[in-house]
Order: sequence, then C-alpha cells, then structure tokens
Amino acid sequence: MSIYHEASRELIERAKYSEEAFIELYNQYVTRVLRFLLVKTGQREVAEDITQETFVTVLKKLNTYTVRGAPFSTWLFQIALNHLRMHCRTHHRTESLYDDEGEVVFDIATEGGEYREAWMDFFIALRHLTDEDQNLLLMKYIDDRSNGEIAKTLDISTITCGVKIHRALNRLQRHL
Amino acid sequence: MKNAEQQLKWAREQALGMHAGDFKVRLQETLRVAWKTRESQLSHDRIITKKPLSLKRAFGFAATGLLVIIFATFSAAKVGEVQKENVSYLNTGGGGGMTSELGLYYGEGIGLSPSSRQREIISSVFEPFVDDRAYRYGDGKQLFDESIGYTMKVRGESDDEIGGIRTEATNLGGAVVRVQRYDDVGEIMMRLEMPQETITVFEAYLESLALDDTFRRSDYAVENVSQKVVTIEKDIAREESALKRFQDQLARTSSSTIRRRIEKNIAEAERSLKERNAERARVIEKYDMVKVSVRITEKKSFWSGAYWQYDRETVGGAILYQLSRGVFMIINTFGFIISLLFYGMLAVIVWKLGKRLFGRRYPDEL
Repeated sequence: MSIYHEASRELIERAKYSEEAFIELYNQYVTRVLRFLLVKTGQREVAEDITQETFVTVLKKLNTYTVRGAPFSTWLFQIALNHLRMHCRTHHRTESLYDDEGEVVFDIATEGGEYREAWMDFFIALRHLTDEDQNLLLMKYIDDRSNGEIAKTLDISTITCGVKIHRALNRLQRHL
Repeated sequence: MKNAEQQLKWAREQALGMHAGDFKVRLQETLRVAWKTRESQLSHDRIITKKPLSLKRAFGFAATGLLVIIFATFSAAKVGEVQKENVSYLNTGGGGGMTSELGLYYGEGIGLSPSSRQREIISSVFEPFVDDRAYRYGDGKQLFDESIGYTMKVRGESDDEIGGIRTEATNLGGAVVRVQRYDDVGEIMMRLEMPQETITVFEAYLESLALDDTFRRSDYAVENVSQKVVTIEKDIAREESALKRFQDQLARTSSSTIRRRIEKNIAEAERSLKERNAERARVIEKYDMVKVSVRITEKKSFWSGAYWQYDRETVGGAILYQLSRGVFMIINTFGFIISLLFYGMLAVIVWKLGKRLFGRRYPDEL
C-alpha cells in the first residue's frame, strides 16, 4: 500500500480557480516528483529544473484535467516523464558518467555521505537499464506506486507492467 | 551480490531522507507569480472575446448552415430532366368527337381537313402512356400535313429526324399515327400507316437515316395486312380440311350414334369456317395500309453514362450496359461530391477566417 495520499477531487477542482488550493496541491506532490527525479537523474540541478517545468505545465493545463478515476499523480508523472525525455533529448543522455575532471556526475551520490559508494553502485547499475525499465522500477520502489497506477502512467496493461517490472529487476540484478 | 529489490528499497529510504532545501519555497513563489500572470491574461481575454465570442459562433453557424443549405439543395435537385405531361389533341374542325379523360378529341378520320392543326400525344414518362382509344385517327387515312407545328419538346437533333420521317410518310400517302417519346433516354417510338406499295421507298428512306451516326434505328416492323389475310386463309384451309374429313367419316358410318356426333362436329366446323371467312373479308375491307413502327434512339457517347441504350440481350451489350451504368453513377455521384468539397472548403475558409479574427489568444509563456 502506498505511503502517499492522493489529492481529493475537490482539491483538484478548487485548484483550477484558487491560487491557495493550487499551492496546496503543489505542496502535496512536489516532494514526490523531486525525489523521483533526483534518483532518476542523480543530479539535483537537473531534477529541480524538471520539477519546476512540470509544475508550470500543471498550472497551464490544470483546466484541461478531468478527474476520471486514476489518481492525480498518474497525470502528474506523465508530465514529469515528458519533460524528462525532452531534457534528455536536449542534453544528450548518453554523455559519460564522468565529467571533464574525472568526477562522476552523480551529485546525489556525493550528497550521500557515508553511502556514497552505495549510491554510485546503484546509479551505475541503474544506468545500464533502459529508460522504461528505470521509470518502472523507480515508480514502483521510490514512489511506492502500485502496478495499476504505473500501468496507467505508462499507458500499458497492468499485467504487462508486472512482467516488465520483474524483468527490469532481473536485469538490474545482473548489474549489481 | 546485492539483491536488486533490496537495493531499490534502500534507495527509497535514502531518498525519503533527502531534503529539498529552499527549492520548494522558491518554486512556490515562482508558481504564485505565474498564477497571477495567468489570471490577468485570462481576464484580458474575457473582456476582449466576450462580444466577439458570439460572432465566432455566428461564423461557425454560418459555415454549418451553408453546408446544410447545400445538402438540402442537392437533395432536392433531380438528376435529369423533369418533363411535364404534354398532351396534344386532335381538332376535328367540324363534327364532334369523343372526349377522353385527357381532353382528347378524335374522330374517325372522315371529314378531317388537311389544314387542321393536329398534334401527337406525347408521353413524358419512361413508361409509355398507352391508350388505344386516343390513337384511332380514322383508319389510317392521311391525318397530318406539314403545316402542323410541333407541340412536343424535342431535344437536340432528334427534331429533324422526326420531322423527316413525318414528311416522308406524308409524301408517300401515309401518316404518323403515334409518337411515344421517352425524353430522358432520348428515344422516340413512332407508329405510322402507309400504303403497302410504298413501303419499299419508305424503307430506303429509313436506311438513309443510318448514315447519321447520331441515331440508331431499331425495332423496325411492318405489319402487312396481306400477311394477316394470309394467316386467316391458312386457318380457313385447315378448317376446310377438317370439315371434309368429318364429311367422309359421316359417309362411311352407319351407326346412328356415331353419325349424330359427326354431324355435330360438321355443324361446328361449318360455323367456324363462316366466321373465319367473314373475318377475312372484314380485314381486307378495313385495312388497305400497312402498319409501320420504328424506334429511333439517339446514340450517346459511352462516357455520357447513357446505359439504357445498350442491349442487354447480347453479351457485348450487357457488358457495355453495366460499364456505362457505372459511368452514370460516377457522373451523378462524382459531380455532387466535387461540389460538396468545393462548398465544404468555402465553409472551412469562412470558419477559419472568423476564428482568426475573433478567436481567443493565450500567451505562449507565462
């Protein structure tokens, strides 16, 4: 069961015309999005940029959002993943793991303190997976979402989602 | 080796402990500013677009209405010509005559003045109108002269062909008795009567029409009165032969019962013979002309879609019939579609113009 609470329908509807309600909605989800993007990109600056772009888009498009049964986070993470893809496309995702000075570009690992090595191993192993595999695993384990919610975000069936997560885990296991 | 799932759960625990710093606060402020900017832009849009919004809808309605009108117009339009029934009648000029339901006056032919204005009955529908009473123009005597003006509507070159046949028939001492016109198919069925000795000349004239590729003659038939008489005479011969057999049987039979039966047969045969002979005399007396019928069909190009001109009884004709029918459907459908597309494009242009002039605009960036 997810540790996160989804926004109520009433809050979402109010957020369409009330600034305070929108800020309340923002506060409810910003940490989740930022955390996901931090682990996904391993770079704080990038994660913050994408988070900002995500919520600006939510502000523009919230009027078009209709509550249909899927949690608000489904739509939110779709926007976040789109911005992430655009960012990777723009900044050439396949750059080296190391910068010009030989430092690993995972500043999160640096922030990890005593767990720096563990983070490094984790990021390096994660980098061996495809984007889709990474998204699946991070949404499942970092954002603590169910297979059904992940399936709706990625627009795949729940069964397919379960199979893909299982395979992604196996692939990650091989690189750890 | 580390377990992948455990590694991910560890990463989650670590990530939960990560602080966002002042990023959340900064982003919150950014979003508040963005919200206010958005609100002011929306208010501006509402003021400007309030009135023209209805105009925008009016443009949309006009475009839609235009399409609806076009549809209605095309639905109401009929393919081909709609003919009104044009009924002509005979002016006897002096005695009375019977009036049919169609307001026709017809006489028995005697006493008709050559200068009388006489016109044919025209059928304007696909299936010919047939009313035998209307066509009894006096035993086939000369009924028409060249001073008669046509009242029927003719199309194209068929006017000359009909006039030519009428003139030729009249010159030969005959007359046009009936004209059945099928306007939509460009076809005319004419029935004439003329002295049988002139038939060879008339046939030669009709042959000359074949030189004109525009028209096709078909269903040319001559009913020779003498043929009718020949048929009756054959029947008479057969019955005379039967009568003679009965008479021979009677002579050979002595049985009274059988004789009575044979005598009955003889009486019946004699009565029939008498009737047939009377009919022969009647036919010979009544008809001294031959009846001619000819169908004149205006040839149309294959690409005009006039599928009705092909004879389905033949293999080649049946193939051409079907192909031409396809052309007909294409012509009648394609033209409509082209027009529809044209007016549809017009409607879209009107719509887009209205949208551009009065449509709501949003800023690209907050």
